[in-house]
Amino acid sequence: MIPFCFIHAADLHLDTPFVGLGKIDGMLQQRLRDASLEAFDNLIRTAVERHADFVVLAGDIYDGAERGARAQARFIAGLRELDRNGIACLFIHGNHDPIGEGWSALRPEDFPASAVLIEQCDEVRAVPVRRDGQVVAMVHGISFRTRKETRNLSRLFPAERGEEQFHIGLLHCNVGGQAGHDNYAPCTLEDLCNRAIDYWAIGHIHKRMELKHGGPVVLYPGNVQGRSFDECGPKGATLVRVGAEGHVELEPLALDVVRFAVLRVDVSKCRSLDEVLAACEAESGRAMAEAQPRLLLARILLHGQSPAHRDLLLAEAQEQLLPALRDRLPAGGFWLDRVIVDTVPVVDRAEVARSTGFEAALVKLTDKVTASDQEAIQLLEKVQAPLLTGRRFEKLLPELGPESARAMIQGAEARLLGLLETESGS
Amino acid sequence: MKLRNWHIDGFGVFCGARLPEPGLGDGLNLFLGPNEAGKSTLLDFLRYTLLGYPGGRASLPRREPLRGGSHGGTLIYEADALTCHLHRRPGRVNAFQLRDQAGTAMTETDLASHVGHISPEVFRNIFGFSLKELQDLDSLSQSGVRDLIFAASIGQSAGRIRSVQDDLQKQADTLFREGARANAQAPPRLVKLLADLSEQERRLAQATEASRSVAAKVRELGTRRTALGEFDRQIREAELEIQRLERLTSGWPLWVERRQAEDARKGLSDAERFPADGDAAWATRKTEFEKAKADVRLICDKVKALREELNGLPAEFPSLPVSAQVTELAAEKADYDVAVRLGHEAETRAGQAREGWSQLSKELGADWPEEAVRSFDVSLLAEDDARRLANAVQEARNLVVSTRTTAANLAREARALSTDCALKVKQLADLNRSGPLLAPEQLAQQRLQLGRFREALRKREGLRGECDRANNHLTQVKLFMSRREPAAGLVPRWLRPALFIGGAVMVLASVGLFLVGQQAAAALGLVAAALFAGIGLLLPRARPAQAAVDAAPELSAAQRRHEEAQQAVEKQDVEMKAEAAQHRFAWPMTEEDLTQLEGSITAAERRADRHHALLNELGELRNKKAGRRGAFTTAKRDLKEAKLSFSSASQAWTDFLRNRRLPETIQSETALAVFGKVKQARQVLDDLHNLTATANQQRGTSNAHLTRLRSCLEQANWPTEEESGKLLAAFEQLQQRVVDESQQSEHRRRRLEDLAKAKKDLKDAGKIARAKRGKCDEFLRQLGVDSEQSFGGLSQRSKRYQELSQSINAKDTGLKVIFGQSGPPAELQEAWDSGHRPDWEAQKSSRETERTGLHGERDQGLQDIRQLEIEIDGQLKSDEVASLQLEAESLREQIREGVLDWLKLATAQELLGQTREKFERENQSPAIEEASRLFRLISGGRYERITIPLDSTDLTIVPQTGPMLSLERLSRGTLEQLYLCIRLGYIRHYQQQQRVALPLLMDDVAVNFDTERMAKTFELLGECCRNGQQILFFTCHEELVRMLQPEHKLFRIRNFEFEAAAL
Repeated sequence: MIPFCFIHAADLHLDTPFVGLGKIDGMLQQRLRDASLEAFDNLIRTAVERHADFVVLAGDIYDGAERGARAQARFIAGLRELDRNGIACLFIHGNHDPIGEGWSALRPEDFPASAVLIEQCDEVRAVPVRRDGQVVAMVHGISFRTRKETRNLSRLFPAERGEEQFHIGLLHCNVGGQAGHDNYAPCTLEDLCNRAIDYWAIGHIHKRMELKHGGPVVLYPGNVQGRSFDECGPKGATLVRVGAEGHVELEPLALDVVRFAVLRVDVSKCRSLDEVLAACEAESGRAMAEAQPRLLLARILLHGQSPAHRDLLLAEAQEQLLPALRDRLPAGGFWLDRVIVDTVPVVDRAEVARSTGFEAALVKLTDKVTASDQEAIQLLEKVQAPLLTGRRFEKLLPELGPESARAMIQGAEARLLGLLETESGS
Repeated sequence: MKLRNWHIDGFGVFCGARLPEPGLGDGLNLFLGPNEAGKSTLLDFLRYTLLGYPGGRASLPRREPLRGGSHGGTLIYEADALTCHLHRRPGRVNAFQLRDQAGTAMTETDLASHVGHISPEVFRNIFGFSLKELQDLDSLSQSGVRDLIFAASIGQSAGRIRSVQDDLQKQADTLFREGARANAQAPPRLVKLLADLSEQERRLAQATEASRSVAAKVRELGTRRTALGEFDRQIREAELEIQRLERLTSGWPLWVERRQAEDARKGLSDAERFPADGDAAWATRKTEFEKAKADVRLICDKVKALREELNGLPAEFPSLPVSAQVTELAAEKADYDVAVRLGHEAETRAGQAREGWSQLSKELGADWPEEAVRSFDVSLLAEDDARRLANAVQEARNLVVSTRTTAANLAREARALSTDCALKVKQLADLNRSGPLLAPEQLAQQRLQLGRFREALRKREGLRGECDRANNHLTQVKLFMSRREPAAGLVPRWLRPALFIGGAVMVLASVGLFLVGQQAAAALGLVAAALFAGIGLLLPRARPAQAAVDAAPELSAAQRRHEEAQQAVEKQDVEMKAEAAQHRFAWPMTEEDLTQLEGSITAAERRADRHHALLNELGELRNKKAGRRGAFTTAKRDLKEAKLSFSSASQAWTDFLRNRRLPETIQSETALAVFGKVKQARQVLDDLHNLTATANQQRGTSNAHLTRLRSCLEQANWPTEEESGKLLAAFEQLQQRVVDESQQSEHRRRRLEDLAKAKKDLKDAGKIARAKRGKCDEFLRQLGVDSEQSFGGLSQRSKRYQELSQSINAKDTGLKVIFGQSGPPAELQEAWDSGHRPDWEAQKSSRETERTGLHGERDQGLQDIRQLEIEIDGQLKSDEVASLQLEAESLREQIREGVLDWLKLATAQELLGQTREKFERENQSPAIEEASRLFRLISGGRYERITIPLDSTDLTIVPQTGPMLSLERLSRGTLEQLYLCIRLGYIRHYQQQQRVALPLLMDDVAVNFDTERMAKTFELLGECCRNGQQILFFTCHEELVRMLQPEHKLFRIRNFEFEAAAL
C-alpha cells in the first residue's frame, strides 16, 4: 500500500451566525461574520502546506439554505485553490445542506475537476483517489436528500472488501444517539465496524471524538469553527496519515480563528471587587495565552462563597460589573461576553437556619420549596407567567426543569442573603 | 441574662468607670445624665462588649478611648446560674475573655448561648432602640410604618426589606414590565430588544430574499448576453456592407487606371520578352569580361618582373656540397666548446680541492698522511664504534672523578663529626665535674623527701600547738587545784610525773638511737627509762586534797593529754631528726634549709637534664659519623671500580685504534672531531682525484673535436690553422659561407617556381576572358539584337513596358488591399463595361445610419448586463445576510440573558414576598396580641387592640368605641406609643420564642411624651420589669426620676463616673 495523508473535516457551516453572544461592537461583528470563512481558508491553506493528498468533508458544508451566496462563492474558491495545488476534495451534504432542499447560485459545473460532490442519496458511491496515476484510497460516501434523514445510511456501505486498498467511509450521522444533536442518520458503532471500511470520516457532532482508534478508525473531527459557548475549546480538522501497512496516525489541527471559553473564577478568597477583578484578569491572561493568536470570546463565571458577594450583586445590578471587567481585561484578541455572578455569601447556611429572624425564615422556605420538584417548578412557572403573555418570549425562554428551577431558587436565596446582609459586629 | 455591673477600661469618654455596688437591679435601671454625658457611648459599650466590636468596614463608631486606658472593658452578668465576667476589646489579640465566678474560662459559644444566639443587628433593633426611630415615624407612609413595625418584628433595620424589595422591583422593571410598549419613552430593555429583533428579522428576510434572487439574476444575465450577441451580429453585417460599399467607392479609381494602363501596355508587346533584369544581366556580363581582361594584363606584368629578377640572381654555389658536413661539424664545434668549458671548470675545482686538502692536512698533522686518510674507514659502523668507545672512556673518566669527589666529601664530613663528638664529650665531663648526677628516681625521691620535710614541719607545728594547748589546760587545772588543795605530802607532787616524763623521754631517745644505729645507747636509754618508771611507781602518792581528788580526773586527763602531745612531738622529732641528718640538716629544719634543699634538688634536676641532652646529641653525632664512614668506605670502593672501568675503556680505545691502524695518539675525547676531519679530508682527496680526471678527459675530447674540424676544412679546401682559435675562426667563416649560399639557392628556386606559376595563371586568365566574351555575344543574340546599341533601344521599351506592368500590378495590389485576395468584385467590371457607375456613397450612408441604431441598442443591453453582474457579484461577496444573522442572534441572546436575569429577580422577589408573608403570619399574631395588651394598658383602655389583616397591608387600631382607625388618624404621640407597644410586644414574643431574656436598652425614647404619657410609659415598663425584663433607660430628663418605683434603681452620670442615687 502506498502511504498517503489526507485531511478529514466536517461541519464547516460556512457563514454560520454565532449564537449565544450578547451585544457586540462593530469591529467584533466583522471578525465574527468572517470567522467561519476564515477557518475554511485555514483548512485550505493547511492542506496545501501539509501536502495533503486529498481532503474529505463529511457534510454540513453550509449552515442552511438561507445563508447567502457568499458562503458558496468562498467554498468554490477554496476548491479551486486545492485544485491548483493538485489536491482533490471529496464532500457530501448533511442535514443543514441537504441535496434536495438546498439551493445554489453556483452550479456544480463551476467546481474544479478535482472536487467531487458525492450527491447520491440512495446508494453509496465509491470514488478512487489517485496520486501519480495510482489509486491510493477508495472513498465511499452518501449525502442527505432531506434535512430529517432517519435511515441508517451506514448499512448501505459495502460489507465486503473489494480492492485491496484503504477504504474511507464518508458519512454524516449520529453514532450512538449523541445527546445535544438531532438524531439524523442514526447508527451504532457496531454498524460501522461491520462494514468493509478502514476509516470512517464522519460528521454531525461538533465535538471532536475518537470513537474507535483502529479496526476501523471512527472519528468525529468536530466542527471547524465554534459558534457558541456550547462549543468551547480548539476547533478544526484532523490530519490522517496512513502508512504502508495501513496503520493510521491522527493529528488534530486547530483551524479556528475565534475561540470560545467559559472561565470559572473562584472568588472565595476575594474580599473586594478589586481582588475579583484581579482574579479575573489573571484567569483571562492565562486563557488568552492558550488561545493565541485567536480571538478569544469568553464568559466569566464567578463562583464560590465570597466576602465580595454583596458588592458583586450591587455592581451587577448597576450594570457596572461587565464594563469594569472589560476595562480591566485585555482589549486586543479578547472579548468578554458577559459575567455570571454565581457566588454565595459567606454565611453558614446551617447556622442561619438554626437562628431566628427573617434570614432563617428565608432559608427554611428555600429548603422547603427546593425539596420538592413540583413546588420548585410551580414557583418558577408562577414567576415566569408574565413573560408568557402574548407569546413574545416563547422561543426565548429557558427550559424549566427541576434542576434549573432549584438552581434559580437557590440563586435567588443567595442574592437575598447578600442584599439583606448588613454591617454587623466583629 | 441580667447585667450586673461593668468596668470600662477605656471607651470613648469613659476611663476606668464602673457602677457602684451592688450594681444593676433586675428591673428598671434609670441612668440620668446631661447631654454629652456619655449615654450613647455607654449603650455602645454594652452592645459591643456583649456582641462584638464593629469591623473595619462598618460605619459604627469605634469609640476609641479619649481619656486614657486601653480600649475595651469588662461586663459582669448573670446567666444560667453563673456570674460571668466578659472582657472584650477590639482587635484579634486577647480580644475576648469570659470566665465564671470560679475563674473557669468559657468560650464564645457559651456567650452566644447566654445571649440566645442573637445577632448584633437583631439585638440593636429589638433590644436597643432610640429616639431616632420614633422621629423617623413622622416621615413614613403607611407602608413605611408597617415596614418599620415589621422590621421591628424581625430585627431588621427600618425599611431594609422594603428597600430590597424596591431594588429588586426596580431592576426587574428595567428589564420587563407587563403591558409595556416598545414605543414608550423609556421602555423596558427586553421589550425594546424584542422590537429590535422583530425589525432585524424583517431585514434579514429581505436580505435573504435578495440573496435567493441571485439564481434568477444569473439566468437573466445569460439571456441578456444572448441578446447582446444578436446585436453584435447585426452590427457586424451592417459594417460589412458599409465596408463593401466603401471598397467599391475607393476601388473604382484604381480600377479605371488599371484598365487604362493595360491598354497602353498592349502596344509594347515586343518589349515583353525583354527580361526584367536585362540591363543588369548585360551589365554583369560586360563587367566580368572587362575584369577578365584586366586579370590577363596583370599576370603578364608579373611574368615579366619575375624574368628580370631571375636574370639578376647567381646561378652557381660552390660551398653547397660541404654544407652537410659543415652542419654536422657545427655540432662538433658546440661539443668542443662544452668540453673546453667543463675541463676548465674541473681544473678550477681541483685547485680548490687541493688547497682544501692542504689545509686539512695541516690541521691533522703528521699522524695523518695521505695514505692514512685514504685508508680511513668512513663507514657508519666504524664511526659508531668510535663514538661508542670514546663515550665509554669519557663516562669512565667522569665516574672516577665523581666518586673521588664523593669520597673526599664524606671523609671531610666524618672528620667534622668527630670534632663535634669530642666537644660533646668534653661538655659531659665538665658537667660531671660540676656536681653529682642523680638518677631521675633519686631526684624524685629527693622531691618526695622535701615534701615529707615540709609536711613533717607542718605536723610538728600542729603537734606543738596541741602540746601547748594541753599544757595550758594542765596549768589551769593545776592552778585550780593549787588554789583549793592544802599542802601536799612529803613527796613533791612533781617528782612522780617528772620521773615518768623522764622515762618517756628516754624511751624516745632510745628509739631514735636505735634508728640511727646506736643500739647500745638505745638499750641504755631503755634501761634508764625503766628505772625512772620504777622509781616513779615506788614513790608514795601524795594524797591529794578533796578538791584535788575531785579535780583529779580532769587533771589526769590534762596531764595525759599533755603527755601524749609531748610524746607525739618528741616521737616525730626523733624520726625526722635522723632523716634530716641524712640530708645534713638539723631538725627541725628551717625555711632556709628547705629552700636550700629545694635549690639543690632543682640544680640536680637541671644537671640531669643537661646531661641527658648531651648524651642524646653525642649519640646522634656518633651515628652520623658512623654513617659517613660507611659511605666513605663505599665511595672508596666505587672509586676503585671506576678506575678499573676507565682503564678497561682506555684499553678498548687503544685496541680500536690499533685495529683500525689509526694513530694511537688519538685521544678519545677528541677522536670524533679528528675522525670528522679525516673524513672530510678523505672526501676532499676523492674530489681532487675525480676533478683531475674530469679535466683530463675534457681536454682529450676537445682535442678530438679540433682534429675533426681541421679535416673538414681541408676537405672544403679551406685554409686551416694550427692554432685552435684560428682554426675555429676559419671554420666559422666556412660555416657562414655555406649558410649564405644556401639562402641564395633557395631564393632562386622559389623565384623559378613563381615564374612557372605565373605563366600558368596567364594561360588560365586568357581562357576566362574569351569565355566572358562569348557570354556577352550569346546574350545579345538571345535578345535578338546584334549590337549593344540595339540592345539599348530594346531596353528603353522594356522599361516602359515594365512601368506599365508595375502600375497595373500596383493597381491590382491596391484592389486586393481594398477587396482582398479574391480581387475586385464583378460589379466593377460590370460598371466598366456598362460605362455607368452606381451611387455607392448613398448606399453607404444609409447603412451607417442603420448601424448607429444598432449600436445604441447594444450599449443599452451591455449596461443592463453590467448592472446585473454588479448585483450578482455584490450578492456573492455580500456579508449582509451574515451580518444581519449575527445581529439577530446577538439580539436573541441579549433577550435570553435579560429573560434569565428577570427571572432571577422575579424569583428573588417571589421568595422574599413569600418569606415575608410567612414570617408575618407566624410572628405577628402573638406579638400583636401582646402589643395590643400593652397598648390598651398604656392608652388607659382607650384603644382596644391592634390588627393587621393578613390580606391587607394596613395596620389598624380598634378603639374602645368608634370605628377602626388607620395610622394616619393617630396623633404623633399615640403613634410613638403604638410603636413602643409593638416593639415591646415583639420583644416579649421573641424572648418567649427563643427562651432568652436579654436586657432592654432604651435611649431617651420618651422625650416627646407628655407627663401623662410618660407616666403611662413608665407604668408599662414597670409591668415589663415585673415580668422579668431588665431595662436600662438612659435620659437627661430629671423629671423622670419621680416616676420611678421603689424597686427601680437610679444612677447618675457625672464627670463620666457613675453614682448610685437614692430615689
